[in-house]
Amino acid sequence: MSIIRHAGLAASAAAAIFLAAAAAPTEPTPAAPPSAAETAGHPSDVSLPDTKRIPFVSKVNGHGYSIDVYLPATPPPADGYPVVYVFDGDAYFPSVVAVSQADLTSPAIVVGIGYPRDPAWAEAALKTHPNVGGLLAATPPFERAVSLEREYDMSLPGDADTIKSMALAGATMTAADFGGLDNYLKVIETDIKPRIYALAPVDKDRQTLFGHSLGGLAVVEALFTEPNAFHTFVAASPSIWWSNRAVLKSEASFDEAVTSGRATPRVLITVGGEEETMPKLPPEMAKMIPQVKIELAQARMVGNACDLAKRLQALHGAKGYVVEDCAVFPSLSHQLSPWPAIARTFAFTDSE
Amino acid sequence: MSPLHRGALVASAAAALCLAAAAPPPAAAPAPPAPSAAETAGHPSEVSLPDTRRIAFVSKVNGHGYSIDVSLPPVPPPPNGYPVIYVLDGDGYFASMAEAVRLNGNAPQAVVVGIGYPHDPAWPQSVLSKHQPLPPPFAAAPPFDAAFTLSRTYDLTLPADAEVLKANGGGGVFGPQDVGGVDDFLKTIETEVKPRVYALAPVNKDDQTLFGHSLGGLAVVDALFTEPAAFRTFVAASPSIWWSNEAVLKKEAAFDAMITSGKAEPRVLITVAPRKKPYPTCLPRWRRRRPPWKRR
Repeated sequence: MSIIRHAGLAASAAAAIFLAAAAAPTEPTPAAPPSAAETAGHPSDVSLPDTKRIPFVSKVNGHGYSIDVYLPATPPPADGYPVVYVFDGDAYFPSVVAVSQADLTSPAIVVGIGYPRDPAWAEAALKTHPNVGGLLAATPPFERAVSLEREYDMSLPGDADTIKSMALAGATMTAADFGGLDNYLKVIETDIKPRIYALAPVDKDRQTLFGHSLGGLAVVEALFTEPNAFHTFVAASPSIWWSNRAVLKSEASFDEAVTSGRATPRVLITVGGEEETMPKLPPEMAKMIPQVKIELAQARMVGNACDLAKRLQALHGAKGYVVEDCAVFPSLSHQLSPWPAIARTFAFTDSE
Repeated sequence: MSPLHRGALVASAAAALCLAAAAPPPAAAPAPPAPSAAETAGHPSEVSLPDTRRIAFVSKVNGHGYSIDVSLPPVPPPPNGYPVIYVLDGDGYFASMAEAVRLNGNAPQAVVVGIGYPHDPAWPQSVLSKHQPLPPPFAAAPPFDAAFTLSRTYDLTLPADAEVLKANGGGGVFGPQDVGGVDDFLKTIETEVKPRVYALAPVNKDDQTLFGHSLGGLAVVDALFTEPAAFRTFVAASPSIWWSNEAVLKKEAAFDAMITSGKAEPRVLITVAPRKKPYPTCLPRWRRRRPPWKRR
């Protein structure tokens, strides 16, 4: 059982150590007082200026998605706006927009890639994961659907150990719940990019892909398999451990693309300095400590991230190929490391 | 662009950096620029933040208008109530802080309060009328942008005299009457903001945090030195300690005495980016936007 690998369930304190996903509900105990949000009637008074939300069904895999798009209020540069695409948009879009707005150097379009806030979507998505029960069954349908769909979309096929470790108490996960990543990257190319190009003049040579955790794994896979699809790749706390580091099987062909000069991407890899450290768990979770320790050691978040950065830095690529030093953010956990990574993304794109 | 960066109107590049806001208008626009992507799309605001309230009010302390954004946790309160994080320059940093708190599954969920200015068409004129005649760069600016920068500069600063302001406080753009409102602003937080938050949710009054960046960081240092028991935790990010010849440090001795005598035991975090590039790092850029009440 690996509660800690399920982001959607961040309710349980240890949850989301590796997968930090979109907003995570808790399981209210029967006697719990109502939450402040519930008491207030779940208002959404605060909206983000100059944003569009576009739901669609993908031609690639038939799945439903929704993108949030921030449109700069300054005139486009001569070559068009740069674009930053953000995995787990349901979690990070507002923050990336805030940093983009604070960055006076180069106003960028921000695209958060997420899922439709539509009960019909959640119902349909849950039908594609029929075996999932256990702890996950207690979460509201939208959060449950996001948790399952993001794990499908951003993962390579899972080996037996990985699938087993992703199972939640009382739940059965199968190979069909994982391994959608290659299609997901195609969704970005064929369904998402054209929708952005239709909204505003875009500099297609200055596009950035950002992802954290499983999203970081997806960025590494995109880098290795389609290194010319984006100009800049930012893998924040990438889940390289997935399926015995299956993503690294594509590294050799990437190396060849770089050393032959066929690809000259810019790469930034970041990680929180505490991502291999045992988190504080509430007393009721004390019995999980041994399991968490094993998973922390297997995930090797800092080591895997920075080893990859070093290997990529050692490649002799053509002019334009840049790999930043591995950015380790002191005293930050997996859940908090995305925020400085977002700021570093803009510092990196501005430094060109 | 958030109002923070629409803040904009400061004459010198140094001031631009230090006020974390600023960008003067271009000297001469060569040709009419292409419409922005936001303008072409008709300034939609389709993305909203879940479980957020926005509350506008006029402060009884100084008569100025404010608006707070409040993020309400979707989980039941801890037995002692929710912790609270107050964010200065809320128009720039509220959304990020609210998201970071929400996703930090290993901590008790906190109420996040962004402190900003009213999103109301009548508000800018009420500010501008108090600053007549307007300093030249402000007269040419869109009213919301001018009002925002003037309000923020007043609320987050200690007093400074004309000579000092000319030397290091915005190149003479601001006069002594345009700055120095921080004490009243901190009182506004105590008497106008906190009670409104307490009315919304059960709050742990012993676990409240004040966060501010740049001039907001200066305001945090001032709050720490003058009211060290008003918050449990003080976070000063890139504080503008330089303001008015480091005037804020004159209050440090009194704070030291409160600490050493045991009268106050705050938790303090001060952050800044390493000195990598010589400053200023802000490229001047005047970013025009429609005021928020037109962005529907």
